[in-house]
Amino acid sequence: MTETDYALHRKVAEVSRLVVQVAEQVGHVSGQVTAVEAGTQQTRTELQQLRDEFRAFVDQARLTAALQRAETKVGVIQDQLDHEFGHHKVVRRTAVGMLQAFDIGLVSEDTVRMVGDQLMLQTPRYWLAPALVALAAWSADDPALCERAVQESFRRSPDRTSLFFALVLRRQGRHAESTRWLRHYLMAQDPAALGREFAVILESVAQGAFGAAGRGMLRDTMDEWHELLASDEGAEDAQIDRWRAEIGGLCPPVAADEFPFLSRVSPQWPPLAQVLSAARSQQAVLDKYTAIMNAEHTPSSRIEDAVDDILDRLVSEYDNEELPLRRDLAFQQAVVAHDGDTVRAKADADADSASYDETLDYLTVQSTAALNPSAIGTSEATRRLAVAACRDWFHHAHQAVSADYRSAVPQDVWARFDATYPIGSQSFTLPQWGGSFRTPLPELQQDLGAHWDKHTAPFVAALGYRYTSKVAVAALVAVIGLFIGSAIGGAATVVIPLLIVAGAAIVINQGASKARQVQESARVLLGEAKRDAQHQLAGASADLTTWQQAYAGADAVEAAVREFIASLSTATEAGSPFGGRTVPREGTQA
Amino acid sequence: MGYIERPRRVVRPAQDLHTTAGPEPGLAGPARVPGRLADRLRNRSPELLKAVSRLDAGLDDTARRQLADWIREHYEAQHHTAPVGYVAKCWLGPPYVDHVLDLFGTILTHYTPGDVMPSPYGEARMLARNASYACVEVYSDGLVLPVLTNGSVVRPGGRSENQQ
Repeated sequence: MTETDYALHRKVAEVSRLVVQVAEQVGHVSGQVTAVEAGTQQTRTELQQLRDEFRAFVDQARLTAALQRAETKVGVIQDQLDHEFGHHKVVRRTAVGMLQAFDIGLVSEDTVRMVGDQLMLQTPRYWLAPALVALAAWSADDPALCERAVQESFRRSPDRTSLFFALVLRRQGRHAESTRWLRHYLMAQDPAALGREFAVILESVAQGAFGAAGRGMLRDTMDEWHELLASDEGAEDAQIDRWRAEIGGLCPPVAADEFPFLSRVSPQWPPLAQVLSAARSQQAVLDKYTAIMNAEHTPSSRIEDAVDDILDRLVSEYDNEELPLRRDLAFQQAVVAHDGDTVRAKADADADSASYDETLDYLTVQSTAALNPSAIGTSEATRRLAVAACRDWFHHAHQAVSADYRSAVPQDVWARFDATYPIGSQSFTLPQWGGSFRTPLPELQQDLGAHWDKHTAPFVAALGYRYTSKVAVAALVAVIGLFIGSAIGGAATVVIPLLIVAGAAIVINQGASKARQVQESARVLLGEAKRDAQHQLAGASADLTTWQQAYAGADAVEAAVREFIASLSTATEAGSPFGGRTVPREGTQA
Repeated sequence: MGYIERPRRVVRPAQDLHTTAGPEPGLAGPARVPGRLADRLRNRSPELLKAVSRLDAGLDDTARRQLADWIREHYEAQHHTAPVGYVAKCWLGPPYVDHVLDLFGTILTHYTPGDVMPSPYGEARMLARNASYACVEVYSDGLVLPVLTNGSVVRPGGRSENQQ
């Protein structure tokens, strides 16, 4: 019996050793599993980062590709323009060259005539060629040829020819004839469908090119047109919309970096960013238009130079057949200007599409001269007058934009927290918490802290060791061991259950200490996360104050912009040559 | 023409910088647009603005009712429709931030930031907090028109104005 006891004892000791060994190994494996989990978590985070970086890279690559494509296309279109319409350039240059040659009398009539004839042959269908022949015939005193040439030119482009001769005659000091051509031109115009060359009229007004007689006529006609078109609500709305788009285009984007906490925790961040961006457009508008209105403009000292400049614009203004290419070119240039961002480029090009139409109404011509002078080929001096002429639409658009963003300010700004935190093998999800910033910050922080504690406490408790089930199993095994022991009889009756209980105690103790470690680390992690959340909340509250100050500062500029727009009505024509030019003879005092 | 050089002229800008002052934008007389909205967009007269500013000046009920009647009649004569009321900044101090002046019931209701303003006044709430506007009119169809201190009306944005 003792021997049996001894053998049994040894076996039980062996079993117990094995149990401890297994428990150790299980502990070891569990440690490894935790390590693997941490590894997986890290891999996942890195993968997420990689994905974000990859997306950013793809976006950047797309922009770069679009930019390069647009740059290539700009070159191609410019080549095409050169190829298809390049020969017009020669005629254009010759026109002004010819007039200047007349002034100083350096070129013989024969040469002038020969060049005129040659260009007539080389540029079929172009209106300026017969006009040059007419000029050459005029200088050679050949009325019959001159008349035929003028008629041909007039047939090809009545509007441009009328304007061209009005300007040429004005340049030569033939006021009465010049005004007659001008009247001819104005009578034939429909203010709702003006040709693109009309911009030249605005330019002439800015440069004072038509002298006293033409000036009065132009002012009367233009006032009448303005009155006529402004009575149409749709036409005026279209201009106001255009100005709104202009102001909208000046909004500087507000980066989330500027308000790092607010942008992260507040669901109202997108409207807040938009409102601030729109409010900041006030300063941009003020800067841009003050610069335009204050730009130093030096009128040409000779009327010949002024008219030559205008003639340059008249003849180099795109002809209608060039428009499709010009429109495409403008879009591609917008893509280049926006660093490949085709969406913004398209919005820009669409807002400006009216500038490239074949006919424009008078109001659109004014707006275009103010907003995009290069599209219709007018100068900065004209732009100033046009901006002043558009002051009503500018005012309405500015007020509408201001009212829009002011009413879009969120009435109530909230902070929201809900996140998932990985804790060992489990993850803790914080149920959503929201609080309005109208509540004082200490109360908000307390509330958020209470919310955290309320939900973290059960989570941490659940991580604790489940003694009951483990003890129950151990007790059951011990009872079974008791039965077996009593079946064997003798010392085994006591020894077997005791050994089982001892083994179970070791296993349970190990499990419990491990659970305590997990609990402790969870407590530390969640405590940090809670402090971080409270820190973010305080940061967001500070950000909101900064935002309010930034908004109030940006919005306060509105009064200055309103005042500036109002001042346009008095600043309009002061100092412009349209206000009257004194033309003394050389050698006399003004 | 020909080879003769003509005398040069010296062209200088005008010496007398007389300005040709046009009307201030927004004050260019009555809107020329026909229709109901155009009537509403016409500039408000200074007397009207003054009367509106006196509405919440701590008058007793009878005086306020009389003033509201006068304002309503003035609107109907000048602009064909009268707003249902105004939203304005409240000077009572915390907890109140703004109030609604109902022109028809002649009721003055104060609101705290947490209160929800009933429709159609809610839309006008943030506009009323801005000091640039003399008053913010609210119409029964939900149209909100801020009026600048010079009496000109801010045209509603977007294309919605044409739907009137």
